[in-house]
Amino acid sequence: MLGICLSDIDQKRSILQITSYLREGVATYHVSALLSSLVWFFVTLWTLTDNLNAAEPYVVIANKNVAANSLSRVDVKAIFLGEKTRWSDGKPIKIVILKNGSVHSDFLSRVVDKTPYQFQNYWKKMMFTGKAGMPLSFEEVQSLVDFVAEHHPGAVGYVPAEKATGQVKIITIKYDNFN
Amino acid sequence: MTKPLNIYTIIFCMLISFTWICSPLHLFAAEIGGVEIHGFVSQGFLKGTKENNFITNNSGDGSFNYNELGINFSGEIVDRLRLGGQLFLYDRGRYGKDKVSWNSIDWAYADYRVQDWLGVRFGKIKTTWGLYGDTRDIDALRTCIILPPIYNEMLRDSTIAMTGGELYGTIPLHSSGTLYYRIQAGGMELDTDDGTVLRTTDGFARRLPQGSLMVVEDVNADTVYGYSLKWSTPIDNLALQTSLNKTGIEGAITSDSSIPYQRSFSFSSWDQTRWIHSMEYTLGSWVFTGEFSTASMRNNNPIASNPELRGVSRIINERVWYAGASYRFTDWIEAGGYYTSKWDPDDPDGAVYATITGLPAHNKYFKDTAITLRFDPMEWLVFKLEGHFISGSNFLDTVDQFGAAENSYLFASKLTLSF
Repeated sequence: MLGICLSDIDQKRSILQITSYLREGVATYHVSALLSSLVWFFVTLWTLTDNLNAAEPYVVIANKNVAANSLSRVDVKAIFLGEKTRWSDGKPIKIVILKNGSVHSDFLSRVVDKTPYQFQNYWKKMMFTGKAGMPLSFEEVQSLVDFVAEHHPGAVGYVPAEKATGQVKIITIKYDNFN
Repeated sequence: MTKPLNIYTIIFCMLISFTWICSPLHLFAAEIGGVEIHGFVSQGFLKGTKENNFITNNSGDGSFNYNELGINFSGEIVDRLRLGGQLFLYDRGRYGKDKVSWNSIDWAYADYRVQDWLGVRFGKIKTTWGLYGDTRDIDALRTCIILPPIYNEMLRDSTIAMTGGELYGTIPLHSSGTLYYRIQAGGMELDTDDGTVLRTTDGFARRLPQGSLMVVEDVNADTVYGYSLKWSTPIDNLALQTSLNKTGIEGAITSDSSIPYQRSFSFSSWDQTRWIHSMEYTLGSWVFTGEFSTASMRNNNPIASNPELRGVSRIINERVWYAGASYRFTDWIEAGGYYTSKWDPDDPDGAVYATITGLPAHNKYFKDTAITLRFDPMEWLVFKLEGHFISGSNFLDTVDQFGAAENSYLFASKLTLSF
């Protein structure tokens, strides 16, 4: 209809204007959609991160002399693989682990990226090449808690969430967007 | 003739019985005054194609001449300082022979960890040699029995450890993963009746008049250095590594040959350079590994019959790669396998070698498909069954290559007790 009422040049200008408006509209739409998606994504991720911590069946515990209150998942993994051997104040880290059980498997799977067999094999390699001794392991959760609380100022371990008593400090694991 | 049960088999059976009795008491490993004591004993059995003796005595008939024994002590003496050592005895045909020597010390070093990103080791330390160089002596730490030819057991004495020093460390790269480095330098002491020298003299023996006697007057590897760089990537459980080892070996030999230039000669400037590029990826209970190795050896050709070539350095090249995978089904059963290929890039099918020497072309290459089943009925006990389907004879001992069949099989089994 527009083409009937306008001159050729005007038609072209109009078409260009309409096209431009449409492009802007589409661009605006896309930008809005993108921004909305990003906002939704990060809100969801933040919510999930919070929920991830709340959903884990284990907590990381440490001796009350340990200064850290939270650690990244990468740092916790490095600690339990013997790669990070000092706390930020320079004091030595002493890792203790559970011998078996679902909490042991869950922690290794979610934090250390290893199955119990792979984790044990990793530490056997360290031990048989002289690079480190085997981590102290406990059958009973309470024995692990007692050791962390009383026997080494740099001790760190993991236990079922409900077993973390006031004897020890709970260290929060921070998961970033990528881990 | 199959060798009768040797002392290690007897010790092995006694240890099996002892730990079977002690297992209810959980008497595994030992710790005395803060020093941890661990060990392992392995007894293997090899049987393969009759013409192809595989690093034992008469694997064609079936041989128990394949065992290892190790014991180690280690502990943190003071804050940041660890001391430790491992004694290792082994028997593989004419190699090792359960002999106690300087090379029976597998490793023994002091380790001072200044920071996580910087540590120092000095003493007898393992060389930088791919994914399995550090742990190749301990059967319980891997799926397969026989490692691919990157880990040549016949040259173990000149590839496994050096006496010297090493800097090492772990460097977190935040969102880019983690970097692990090792830089080392030192020397090696070689036994005149162990793998590297034996294979060297085998090569000379073929050029001397038949029946000539040779005496190795001196051999040393005073210059050994290397490094490894491992990147634990941001992709969970994917690690990439590159390592270099450079070893210079020299020595002197006398013989009763009637040919003057063969009576006394030195083999010098035997520079061996090996790069190994490695990948390891773990996905749940799957582990995927792959390595590619390029090696070159320069030698001075001391008794070449052509006087124009005598003393002139020549370079021998080697390429090896393998790809493997393993899957852990349960706590006590695992399966795995690999395919490997070894060849001379200057003569991949051995045709040039065959033309010059008149010997079979298959002496120049080696291809192997290996399949393994591993059983861990108890934490301290490992049993493996393994089959190899082989083309080429390059990985056989030099004295066994001549008359070997091109296509062969090898069956291996091994029982390991560790604590």
